[in-house]
Amino acid sequence: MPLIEVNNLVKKFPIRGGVLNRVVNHVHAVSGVSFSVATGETLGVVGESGCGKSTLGKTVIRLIDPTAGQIVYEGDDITELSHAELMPYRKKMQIIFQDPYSSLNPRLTINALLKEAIKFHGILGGDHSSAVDDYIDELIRTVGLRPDLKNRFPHEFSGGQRQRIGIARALCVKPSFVVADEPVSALDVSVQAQVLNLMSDLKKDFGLTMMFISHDLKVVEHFCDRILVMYLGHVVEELSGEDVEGTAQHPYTEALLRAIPIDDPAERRPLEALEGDVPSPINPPPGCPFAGRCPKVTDRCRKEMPPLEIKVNGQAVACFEVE
Amino acid sequence: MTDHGMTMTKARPEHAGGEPVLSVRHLTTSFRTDAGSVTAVDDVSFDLMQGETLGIVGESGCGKTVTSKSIMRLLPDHVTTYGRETEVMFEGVNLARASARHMRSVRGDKIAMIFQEPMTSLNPVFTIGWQLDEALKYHTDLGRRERRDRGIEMLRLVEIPNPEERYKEYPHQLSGGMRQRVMIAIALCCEPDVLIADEPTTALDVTIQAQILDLMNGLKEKLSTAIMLITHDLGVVAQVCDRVMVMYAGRVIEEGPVIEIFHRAQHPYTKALLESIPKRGNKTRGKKLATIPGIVPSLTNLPPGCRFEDRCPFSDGTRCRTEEPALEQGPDDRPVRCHYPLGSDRERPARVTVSAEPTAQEAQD
Repeated sequence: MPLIEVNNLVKKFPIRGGVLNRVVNHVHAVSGVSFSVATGETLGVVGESGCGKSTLGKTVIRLIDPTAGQIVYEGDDITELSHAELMPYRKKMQIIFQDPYSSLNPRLTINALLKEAIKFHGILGGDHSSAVDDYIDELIRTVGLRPDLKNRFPHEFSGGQRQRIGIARALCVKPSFVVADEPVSALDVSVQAQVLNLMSDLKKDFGLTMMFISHDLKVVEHFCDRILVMYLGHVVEELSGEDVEGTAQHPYTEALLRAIPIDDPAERRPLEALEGDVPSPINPPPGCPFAGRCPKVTDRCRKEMPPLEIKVNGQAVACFEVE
Repeated sequence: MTDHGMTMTKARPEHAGGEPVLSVRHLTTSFRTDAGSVTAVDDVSFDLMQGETLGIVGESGCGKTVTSKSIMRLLPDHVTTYGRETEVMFEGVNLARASARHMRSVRGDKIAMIFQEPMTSLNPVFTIGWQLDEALKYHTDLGRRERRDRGIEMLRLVEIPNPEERYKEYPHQLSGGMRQRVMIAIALCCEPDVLIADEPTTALDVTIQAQILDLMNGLKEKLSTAIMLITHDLGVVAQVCDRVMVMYAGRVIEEGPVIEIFHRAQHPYTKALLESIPKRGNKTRGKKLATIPGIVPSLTNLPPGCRFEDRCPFSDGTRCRTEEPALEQGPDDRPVRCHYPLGSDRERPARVTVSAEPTAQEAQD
């Protein structure tokens, strides 16, 4: 049984306007996304800004309420649960945010912000101060910091250290599912490597199931078992993390791969840039969202949305032109 | 020119243009802060040749942006001081000592700059056309009609569709990639000799980044502008730069042609930086990434020896800690700032691994 299953998830954000502040339009952030994550698996979600990947991640753990669709966690439908009913699931599903500067409360010391979550969710069962202290020390050590720093405030740490604290904050309630929303994008390359290594260690040690969201295909490819490629609220293709180049068939994924500069000046080649920009998610075009930039576009693509279906190589692709 | 400058020039491989367009010597930029004087850029020297793209690479806080802003004199005068020997020679004038009036005539005309954030560097209350026109009005004696034609021609050059329409639009009506194109159009409208691009594609998506990099490469060939590209993205460097200068904590630590930097790095930091990027096509999948333990030292509290010493796997623990290496010719015949450059015959101390578990090292003192 998959740990998390998402069926036809839709999220539209209303745009209000006019004198009466009525809903005049919608931003179609996520349009009918379905996937499942098996226990212990790391699912990558990759796409350019505005493709709906962060909204998807937040909706899956119910930080944002979906407009339509279904979210099933360990067989329980959590889509319609109330705030109170959701509590037991909150500690099982955690999130690591992109920006280590704004995702930690600046007025709480590291100790206080970890203790708050641990006590709220009753992780150690009741209020055993010394047990909580030991647990926090252990956790801080696990993420590669020194426990004697725990009485400091977030601003006293560097970006990489703050991201480690964000990770400790997510792990302190012993979750089984973690959404990592661009966890290394704000970090320098050398620090990015440290945090990625830490996360892969923790994934193993804590037996985590993860959803790893990033715009950087190199990072996702390094870290994930399976990858969803998103474009304008739709999943356009599912890739195997083991062989991205080999499984990529959707014209958008191919374009994405060709747009990434090669890290070797000896293999320099002209980048084959895609024409144009991503269309606006307000009133998205009918048909395939990529039709306007696609080199293989046909009339059918402009009228009809291709379904995400399993193609010849066994991978799911949403494209009429792929066999 | 001092001895130091001479060696730097000799070190350079032959390049298309003989004379450098821009020649920087001993650039030292300090800021007055509450914590005392902080030297963000320390004794940086380089030449920029006509038609070449020089990449300046480093992590945040290494001084790459301060270097470019110092050249343009865009730093706040009341807290900034330049070193006594600092020379930024451009057309026979030392820009580090030039008058504000002279700087105004250079900026945007002969040396232009594009910034990381196309959203914040365009004025939101004026049209694209007005902002193009402003540069032309100040720096050329073209008439109104001619300026308009020139502006539209520039928009066409940077491949903006419907340039006549776009000319009348405001920045918010354009996407991020289009705004960066407008920035480039404004920067290039007076045909500058030098274009300084500070992280021009960092805020953009990869497909848009590819468009902008292609555009910059094409324009360089068309207009033979010298480009100084500041970035932390080594992929971008590999894609567009001819020559690279690597900076660390305010110092140049290595420089050379792009292929040599990528294939025969002499400084342990350069090598570690290159190894820490995840590689495409599964080369690093499931494996640990190489990391650089620790963090960049604070500029207010620099170590007496090599600034990379505490993170370096090759530190000898004595000389490296007490004596800062000079930037001198390395084994690959390129300048490097290291007592034990990689690939040298000079006996390197046994690999003293700083820590088996790099993550534990990150804790501050």
